[in-house]
Amino acid sequence: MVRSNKEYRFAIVGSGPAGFYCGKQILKNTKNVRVDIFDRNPHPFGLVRTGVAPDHPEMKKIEKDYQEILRDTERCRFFGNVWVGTNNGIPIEKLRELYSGVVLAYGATSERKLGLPNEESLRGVFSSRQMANWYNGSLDDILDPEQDLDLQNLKDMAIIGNGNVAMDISRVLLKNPKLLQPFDAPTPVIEQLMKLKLKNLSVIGRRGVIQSAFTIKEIREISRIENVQLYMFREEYDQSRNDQSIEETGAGFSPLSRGWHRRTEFLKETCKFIDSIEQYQDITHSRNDTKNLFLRYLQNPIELLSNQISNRINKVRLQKMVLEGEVGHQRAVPDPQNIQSEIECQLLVKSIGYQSRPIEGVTFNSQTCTIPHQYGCILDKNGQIQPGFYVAGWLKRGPNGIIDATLRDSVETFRIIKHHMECDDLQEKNTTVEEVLKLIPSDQKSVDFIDWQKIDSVEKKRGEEHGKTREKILVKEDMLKIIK
Amino acid sequence: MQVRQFSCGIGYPPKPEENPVRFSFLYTKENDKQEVLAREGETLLEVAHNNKIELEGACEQSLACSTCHVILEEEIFENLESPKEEEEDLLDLAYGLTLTSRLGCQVKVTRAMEGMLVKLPSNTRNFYVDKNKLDLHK
Repeated sequence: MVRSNKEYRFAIVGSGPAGFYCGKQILKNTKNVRVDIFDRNPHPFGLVRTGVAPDHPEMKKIEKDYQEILRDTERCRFFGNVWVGTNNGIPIEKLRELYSGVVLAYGATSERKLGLPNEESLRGVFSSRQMANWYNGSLDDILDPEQDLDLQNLKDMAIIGNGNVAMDISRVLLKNPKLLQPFDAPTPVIEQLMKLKLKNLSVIGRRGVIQSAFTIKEIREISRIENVQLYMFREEYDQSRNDQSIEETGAGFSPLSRGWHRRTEFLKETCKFIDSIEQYQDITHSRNDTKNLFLRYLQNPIELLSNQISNRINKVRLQKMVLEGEVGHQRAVPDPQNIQSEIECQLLVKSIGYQSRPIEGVTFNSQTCTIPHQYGCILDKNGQIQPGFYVAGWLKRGPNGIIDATLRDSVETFRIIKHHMECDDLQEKNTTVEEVLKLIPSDQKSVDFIDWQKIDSVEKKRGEEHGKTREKILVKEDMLKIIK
Repeated sequence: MQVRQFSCGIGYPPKPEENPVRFSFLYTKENDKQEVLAREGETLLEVAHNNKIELEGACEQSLACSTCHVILEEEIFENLESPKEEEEDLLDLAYGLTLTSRLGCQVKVTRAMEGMLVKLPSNTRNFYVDKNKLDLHK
């Protein structure tokens, strides 16, 4: 418990895992402190709702834990559909005046780009976020599945990047869509997936097998999908296993070495190896029911080729890479022999990482796209800590890591908050709902916890009618209509 | 209304007449040892929650996360059934993995655990140690 009985009021910006874990820590360890949670969406839970894949319902169980926090309405209030610091929302300065402490936990709403000239203009080229937003029923930039994805004509697909988001997308597209039915994938998404005729999916990594970004849990799950065969190219596998990489998987190199080693062994045992171009051609053109997942390594996309008439991608040109650098810090650089190849794809997904956006009035490191901080306390432009101003989650440490990492990171941020509470470094406040509402533009309707419960129960009820856990509402205005 | 703090287990430790198994959790960072009472057959995560020990269990024992990672004594660890593949996969990602690490949701209490010590991996960097790096007085 925090050794202080003072009446502190906290604002948490963002209601994903980082925000909720911070809120939970604060509420659990104090008596007289209250927390207000802000989100730009009318719904809470951030990526638990719109990032965790629809066939991972066990991961969505955390929502229950978060819901319990919101249920404590005496001490916790939800302000959904409210922007902070951007988009004509509440300025950060105003929020800091109103509260004893402000925690920024708004995550990463942007993504990294390949840096190729036509990646924005070609049809059939999307970011992993757009894909995940689509199948998760996010309220943000919804794709037009007929026009954009054209799933009924999709036979060959490429994903650049091999993290767990790439694995989620692969699984959702390779799996029998009927298996998604019982959960919360939107019905229109399932209908689209039914049309899919995907045959060849290439997941492309710049570095080697040992530096794969996916976890063994995700790849094992894919390997168990019916009618899916995993492949690696022998040459890419062999070249991945240079001395430095083998050392990285050795006991004692890193706490993660064991995982890298087990994952590499798993891949070796599970994947079939491709030894020649002819063999590859045979597999990609075979007329059986098997869907092929090619785990490609040491390849870098250098050109997106398109059909001139439709302006739709039809191939990606890859450049062969080699590993360079010291153990644990290896980079991929172009192979001096300049070896290039092309693979067919009617859809290409860029899955090379999310990125946080800056907001006005807060220092931002544009190199790492994170907010500079010390143990979670935000630094000003002179590098000084600012008690009462904190950051947690992906915005703090960059957009990667599983839920455990975010939990631990929120605990760290809470520790500095606790320290500042005990040192009397914060101001007591008694922030009222009216004071907050005054800061919100009058044309914007904020959503409180009672409102959210209404939306929630409508979604659950609609889901129940179709034997699903939930039928998500896909348009923000429709959501707001329910609470009018 | 109160925040429900703990989500697994029945919510309270066994009474003395239930002949509980007694052992301790150790918060390694603070070196703080807490004795707990457990029922045979409960998972270590349930025991932790029943006894208000700070151990998350984000996925509610469905083997989807590694937030309930614990470190066991070698003798206890050796006598357990080997972890399932799924548990091993999650342990690969656990923070501060050791040779006797397990997930708290997969280990069930037996009488033989009487008196054991279960370590909770230290959570994060300890900023008190580096206090001189911080300007704590604005």
